[in-house]
Amino acid sequence: MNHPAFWRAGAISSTAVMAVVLIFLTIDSLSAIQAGGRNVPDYSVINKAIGYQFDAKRAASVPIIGGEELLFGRKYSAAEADRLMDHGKLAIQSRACINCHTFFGNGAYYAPDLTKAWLDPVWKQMWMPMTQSATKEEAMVKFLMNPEKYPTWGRMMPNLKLTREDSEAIVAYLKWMSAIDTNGFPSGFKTTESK
Amino acid sequence: MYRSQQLALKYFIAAIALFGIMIVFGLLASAQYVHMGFLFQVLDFSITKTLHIDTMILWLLMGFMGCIYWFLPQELERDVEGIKLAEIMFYILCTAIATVAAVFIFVQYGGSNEFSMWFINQGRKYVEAPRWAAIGIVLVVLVFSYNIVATAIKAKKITGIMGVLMIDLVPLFALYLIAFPRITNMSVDLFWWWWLVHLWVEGTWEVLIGCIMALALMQLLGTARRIVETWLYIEVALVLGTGILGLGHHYFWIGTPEYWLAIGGLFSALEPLPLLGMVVHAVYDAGTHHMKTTNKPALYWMMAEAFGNFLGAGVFGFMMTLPQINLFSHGTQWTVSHGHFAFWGAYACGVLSVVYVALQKARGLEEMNGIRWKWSFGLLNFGMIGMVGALLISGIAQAFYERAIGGSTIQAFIDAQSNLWFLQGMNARLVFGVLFAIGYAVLVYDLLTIGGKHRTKQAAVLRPA
Amino acid sequence: MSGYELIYASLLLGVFVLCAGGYGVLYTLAQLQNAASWLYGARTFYGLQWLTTAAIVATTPLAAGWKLLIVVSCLVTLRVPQVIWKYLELIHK
Ligand code: HEC
Ligand code: HEM
Ligand code: HEM
Ligand SMILES: [Fe+2]
Repeated sequence: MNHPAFWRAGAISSTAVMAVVLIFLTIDSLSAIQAGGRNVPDYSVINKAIGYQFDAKRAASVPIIGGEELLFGRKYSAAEADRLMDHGKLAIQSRACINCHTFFGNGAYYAPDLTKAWLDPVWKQMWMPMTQSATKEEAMVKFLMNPEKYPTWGRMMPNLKLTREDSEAIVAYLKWMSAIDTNGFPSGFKTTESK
Repeated sequence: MYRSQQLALKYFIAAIALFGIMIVFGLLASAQYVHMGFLFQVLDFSITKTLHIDTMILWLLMGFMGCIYWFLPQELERDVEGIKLAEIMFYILCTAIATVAAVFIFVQYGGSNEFSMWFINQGRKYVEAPRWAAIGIVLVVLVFSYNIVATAIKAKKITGIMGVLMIDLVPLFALYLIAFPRITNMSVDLFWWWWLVHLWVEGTWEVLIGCIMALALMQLLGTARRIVETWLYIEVALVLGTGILGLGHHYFWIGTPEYWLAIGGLFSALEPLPLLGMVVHAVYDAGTHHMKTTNKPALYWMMAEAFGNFLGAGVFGFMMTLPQINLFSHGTQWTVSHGHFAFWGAYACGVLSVVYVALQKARGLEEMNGIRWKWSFGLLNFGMIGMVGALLISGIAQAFYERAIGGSTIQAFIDAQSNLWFLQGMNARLVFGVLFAIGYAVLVYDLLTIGGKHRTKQAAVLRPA
Repeated sequence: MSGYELIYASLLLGVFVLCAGGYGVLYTLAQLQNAASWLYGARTFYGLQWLTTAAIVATTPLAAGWKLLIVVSCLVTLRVPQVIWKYLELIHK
C-alpha cells in the first residue's frame, strides 16, 4: 500500500477499465446519434411537420414527426437534403454562431439557444409580421440576412453577410435540429406547434 | 541555468502577456453584456469572446510548457535534447498566435466554404483557430514531446513523474486532433468536441498539472520523490477513474441516449473526491512545514491551486452536475461561473506558482517576498471570487426565469436577460473584473521587479552554470 | 422541479461538498497541531454535512437514486480525511 508500484498499477488499471467502458458506450451512442439513428432523425425530416409534446412516460418533452410539410415549398430528395445540411453546418461554423448562441445548450450565452429555434412561437408572433413574410421559413431567412434591421430588443445580432443560399440552408438545419430527441432540453419549452 | 530553462522563461513571459490580452478581451466581452450596442458590428461579442477563451487556452498551455521546460533538465540532470528546434518553435508559435489574432480581429469571418475553415475561423468553441494554425500547434506539441522523450532516452533515466507525464501527453495530443474534422451532424460534432474539452480539462490536463505540482513541491518544500510519486499515482487513479466516465455530464442533452443521465451524473458526482484529497494533502504539507519556505508567493499560489481546484471544480461543479439540476443550469451564466472558478483554481494558480519558483532560481534570490505579491495575490483572488459569485447569481436567475418558469423560448431568454438580478450580477462581474485586472497589473509589476537590487548581483554568480 | 426547488436543491448540493471540504481541512489541522478545538470544528462540519444530507433527502425533489448517492457519500466522507491522514503519515515515514 505504501509502495508506489501498488498505486501505479491502480492508476493504470482504473484508467484502462474506464477507457474500455467509454469505448463501448461511444460505439452505442454514435449509432444512436447518426442521422437516421435512434435519437436523431434523417436529414429528410425537413420535408415533414415537426411538433413537440410532453411524454408522461419519459417525464420529458419529445419531438413528434408528423406528415409532409414542405420547406420553402420544395420537397428535398435525400441527396439534396444531405447537401443542404452540409452547407448549413458550414455556414454556421464559418460565422461562428456558437460563439454567441448555444446549440443544445453548448456555446456562448449572449444570444438565445438555437436547439428548438424552429419551433419558437416568436416567428409567428413577431418576426413574420415584422418581416412581412407569409411563411415562417421566409421570415427566418429575412431575419438571418438582415438581423440588424429586425431587432426585438436592445441586444442585436450583427449582419454576418449570409447569402440567401446560406440562410435557407441554416433554416433547414435548424428545422432538422428541432426534431432531435434531447431528453427534454430545454426544460418546459413552450411551443405553439405541439400537435 | 540550463538552456531549456531560458526557453522556459520565454514561455512564461509569453504566457503572462497572453494572460493580459485575455483579460482585455474578457472585459470587452463583459462590457457588451452591460452596455447594449457596445462595439456592435465593429468587434462583436463573438470575436471578443473567442479571443478571450482562445488566449486562455494558449496562455495556460504555454505556461504548462514553460513549467516542463523548466523542470525537465533538473529532473533528468542534463540539458534538453533538440533545444534548438524548441527555440525555433517558440517563435513560430508566437507568430502564429499573433497572425490568428489579427485575422480574428480584422477579417473576423469568411464565406461558407472550406477556405474559411483553413484560413479564417473554424467556428467551434475553444478550437476556433483555422486549420493551418492548428497544424502549427500540432507541430509545436510534437517537438515538445520529442524534447521530452529524446532527453529521457539520452539520460537513460526515467522517473515516475516523467513516466506519467510522457504517457499523459499521448492522449492530450490525440484529443487535440478533434480540432480538425468538420462534421455535418451537430450531435456527432458535439459528441467528439466534448471528448476534447472534457477529457482535456478533467483528465489529461488534471494529470499534467499533477505532475507539475509534484515537481514544484519537491523543489519548494523538498518533499521526497517517493512521496510525491506515490501521491501522484493515487491522484491519477482517482481523477481518471471518475473523470473519464464523468464525460457523461455533457451527454445529457445533445441527442445522446438516456443512459448518460445516470452514468454522467454518477461518475461526475464522484469527481470532487480526488480534489478533496488534494486539499487535505496541501494542508498537510503546508502544516508540516509551518508554511515556512524561502518562496512565499509560490507556496501561496500552490495553496490557492489546491483550494481553487476544490472549490471551483468540486463545489461549483457538483452544484449543477446532477441531470435534474443541469436541465435548468445547462448553458447559462451558471456554467460560466463554474468555468471561471475551475480554470482559475486548477490551472492558472498552478502556473503562477511555478513562475515564482522559476524566478527565484533565475534571479538567484535567497528569499522571495515583499508586499507586491500579496496585493496581486489578494486582488486577483478577490476579483475572481467576486466574479464567480456575481456570475452565480446571474446564472441562477437565468435558470430560474428563463427555464424553470419562462418556458425556454426566445422571449423567456430576453426576459431573464432583462431581469434585475441578472443585470446586477452582470454589472458586479464587470466591477470585479476590473479589480482582477488591477491585480494582474500588480502581478506583472511584481514579476518584473521582485528581488530588486539583490538580483543582479546574485544572478551573476549563478549564470555561468 | 420548480424554480425555488431548483435553487434550494443546488445550493444544498454545494453546501454538501463544502462541508466535506471543511471537515477534511479542519481534521487535518487538528492532527497537525494536536488541538482539540480544531477537532470540534471538524466534527461540526461533518455534523452539518449530515444535516444537509437530511435536508436533501427529506425536502428536495431529487430522484431516489441521487439521494442514495448523497447518503452513501456522506457516510464515506466520515473516513476520508482519516484515511488520507493515516496514509500521508505512512508514506512520509
Ligand atoms: C455577435 C453575436 C451573434 C452571432 C455571431 C450570431 N448571432 Fe444570432 N442572434 C444574436 C442576438 C443578440 C440575437 C437576438 C436578436 C433579437 O432578439 O433581436 C440573435 C438572434 C438569432 C435568431 C433568432 C432568435 C432565435 O434564437 O431563434 C436566430 C435564428 C439566430 N440568431 C441565428 C444565428 C445564426 C444561424 C448565426 C450564425 C450564422 C448567428 N445567429 C450568429 C447574436 C448573434
Ligand atoms: C477580468 C477578468 C475576466 C472577465 C471580465 C471575463 C469575462 C468573460 C466573459 C464575458 C465570457 C463569456 C461568457 C459568455 O458566453 O457569456 C467569458 C468566458 C470564459 N472565460 Fe472569462 N473573464 C475573465 C477572466 C477569466 C480567467 C482568469 C479565466 C481562466 C483562467 C477565464 C476563463 C473563461 C472561460 C473558460 C470561459 C468560457 C466559459 C463558458 O462558456 O462556460 N476568464 N469570460
Ligand atoms: C479542473 C477541473 C474543471 C475545469 C477546468 C472545468 C471547466 C469547465 C468549463 C470551462 C465548462 C464549460 C464548458 C463549455 O460549455 O464551454 C464546464 C462545464 C461543466 N462542468 Fe466543469 N470543470 C472542471 C471540473 C468539473 C467537475 C469536477 C465537475 C463536477 C463535479 C464539473 C461539472 C461540470 C458540468 C456539469 C458542466 C456543464 C455545464 C453546463 O451544463 O452548461 N466540472 N466545466
Ligand atoms: Fe466536464
